[in-house]
Amino acid sequence: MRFWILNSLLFCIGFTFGQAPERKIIIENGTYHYVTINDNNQLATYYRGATTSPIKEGKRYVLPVGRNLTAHFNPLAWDLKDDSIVAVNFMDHVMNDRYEAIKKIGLFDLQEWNSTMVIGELIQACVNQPQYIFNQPYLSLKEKTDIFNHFYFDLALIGDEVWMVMSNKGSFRIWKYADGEWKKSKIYKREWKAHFTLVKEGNKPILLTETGEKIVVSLDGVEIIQQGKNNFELKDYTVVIDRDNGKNYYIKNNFIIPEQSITELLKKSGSTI
Amino acid sequence: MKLTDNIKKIGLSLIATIAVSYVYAQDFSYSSVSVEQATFTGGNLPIRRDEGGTFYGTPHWISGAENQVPVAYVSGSTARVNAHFKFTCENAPDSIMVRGIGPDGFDFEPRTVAVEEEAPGEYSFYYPSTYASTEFTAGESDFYKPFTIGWDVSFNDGEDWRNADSTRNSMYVTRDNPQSEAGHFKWYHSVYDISCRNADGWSTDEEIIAAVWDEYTDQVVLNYKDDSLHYYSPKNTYFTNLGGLLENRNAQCYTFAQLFLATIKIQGVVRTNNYVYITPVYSTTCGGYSVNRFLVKDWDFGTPTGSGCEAYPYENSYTSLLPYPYTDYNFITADVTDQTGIPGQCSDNPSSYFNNHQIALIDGVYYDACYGVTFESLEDIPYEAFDGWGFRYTSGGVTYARFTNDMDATELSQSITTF
Repeated sequence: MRFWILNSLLFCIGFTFGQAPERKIIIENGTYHYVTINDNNQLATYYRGATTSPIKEGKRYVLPVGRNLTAHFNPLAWDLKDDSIVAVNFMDHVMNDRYEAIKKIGLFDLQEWNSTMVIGELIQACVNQPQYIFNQPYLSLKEKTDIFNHFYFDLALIGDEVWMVMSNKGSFRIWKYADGEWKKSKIYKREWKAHFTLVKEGNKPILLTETGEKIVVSLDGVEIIQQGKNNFELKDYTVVIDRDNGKNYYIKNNFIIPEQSITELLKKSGSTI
Repeated sequence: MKLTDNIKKIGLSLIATIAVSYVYAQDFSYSSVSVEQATFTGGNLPIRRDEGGTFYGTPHWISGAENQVPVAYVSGSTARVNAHFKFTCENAPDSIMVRGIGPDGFDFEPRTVAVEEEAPGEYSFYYPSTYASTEFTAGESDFYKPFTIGWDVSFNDGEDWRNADSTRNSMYVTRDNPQSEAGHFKWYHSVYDISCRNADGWSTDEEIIAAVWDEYTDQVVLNYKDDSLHYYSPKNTYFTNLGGLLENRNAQCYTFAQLFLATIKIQGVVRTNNYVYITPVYSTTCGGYSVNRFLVKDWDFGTPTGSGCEAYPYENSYTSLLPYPYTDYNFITADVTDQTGIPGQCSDNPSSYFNNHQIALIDGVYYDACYGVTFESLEDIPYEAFDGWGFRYTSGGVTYARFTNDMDATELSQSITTF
């Protein structure tokens, strides 16, 4: 028991600002929101604070979702709408059901991290979270193949719609959940070498690829609106979605300094997407 | 020649011998020579600590250290080592000869080295980086625990050698270059140890896979310290990656599949599409509930009391499934009860109520490293290893799990990735 508690404490202490945000930072109403993952226990931490205050002063909450770490790394798929986060809980756990992985979690239900929390219990809470909507994109892919290779996915919330893009073995498909049902695009061919990120831009879902391409995606088609960049790898960057100003930025992960505010960081190091 | 001449010659020779002896060993004690540190070089492979995952540094041998650093090479390469010595002596020579005698003819040639005075009566010398006299047999895994080098010194140009000290390190020789680290596959100490300990002397992929698999078949997997690696003992472990297993020595099924695959990847054996996630094929029953649970043997099916779902008549209920001390399931009501069944690694009765499970797939054979058993097909697994299928729902804070022991009720699906 002592070992268990000590272990848990060590994990809590281990939550620092050393981990890069999972995909993105969202700015809304003068507040920033982002999520990190502890790769040892897979648990997510949600951060919130004022955009004008140093990042390190933000509050840290347990977010009851997580993700695994595979050779073809896919960061946590998550987005924020109103007072909730929708995320895909792809945590490795013997009781975690991938078909039920899409969760919706109220921001004001979250608990701040403290040293009395027991990691095992928090992980169990992740597994027990009820599904928000059924993970039809995963089931459909699963019904087509047993082989998963360069399997990546992300989601974005646009109005009342949930958009997902899922890739595997040199192809991808776009999904939209609205009015209680999933609809899908045709399957597009494309070789993926690393993960992509799905964002909202002007009420449209935009796919940011591993090389920096911008692709407008819909159920009816895809359109490349910006070519990739030389020497650009998406994994080295965090996407900053500034909903207050209606702009999206890239910021290099190693430029995210906890002593500075998001506003300062964007001014110094942000580049418009 | 006259007898007197011979006596004179013998007398002169005796005087010369005494004089030589005086110069080389007048007040020297061999037992005072010690190796302070030794470092292997020449393309040895990096090794991560099980504890924390950082890489070991050098030197590999430090006098008096409780744990010496392990060493690894790829077969066909040649070990190379240097060493620092010290000794005490009132009147030391300017130079000394040193050699290392390793196992199986891995010897390190005599070198004449300068003696340095560190303090009055305290001297040191350095044996420079020197290749072993032979290379590790190409295309074959090898294992020495320890790889002992006996260090000899000579004060008369190699005419007489005396053992001075020895160094002892674990030595791992992989058949080929290990595969690159990716995801949770990392070059951990126990990965080398388990792999080379079992694959010692084997060459082909098939031989190595079979030899490494032997580690798992008796349900006792030991790390580099000969400590047991446990599968759900106790049951509440949340570790699901290789590093978590090696650091905490108790983990979920993901980790044993990863460990088995890691112990063949470290030998350079390449098999893609090798890591299999199994879970019930998606289906719904009785009011739309997803059939997403299974029971690994043994579970005792008593009298069914569940109502409203004839296909899954057995009902268990719970709020906190695994309370302290995390050794037994805690059901409020139970038509189905856990029995000691298939033992897992270093665990008589591991967890056995799951949504999913992970196994390895190599050359068409499914290897379940958690239990040390193999299956010829995915379809065989439920019939050989499971006692039932189930689904669950929550009402009023209580989780209700419904089960059937009809193994034809559903089947397994698999998601295959490359670890």
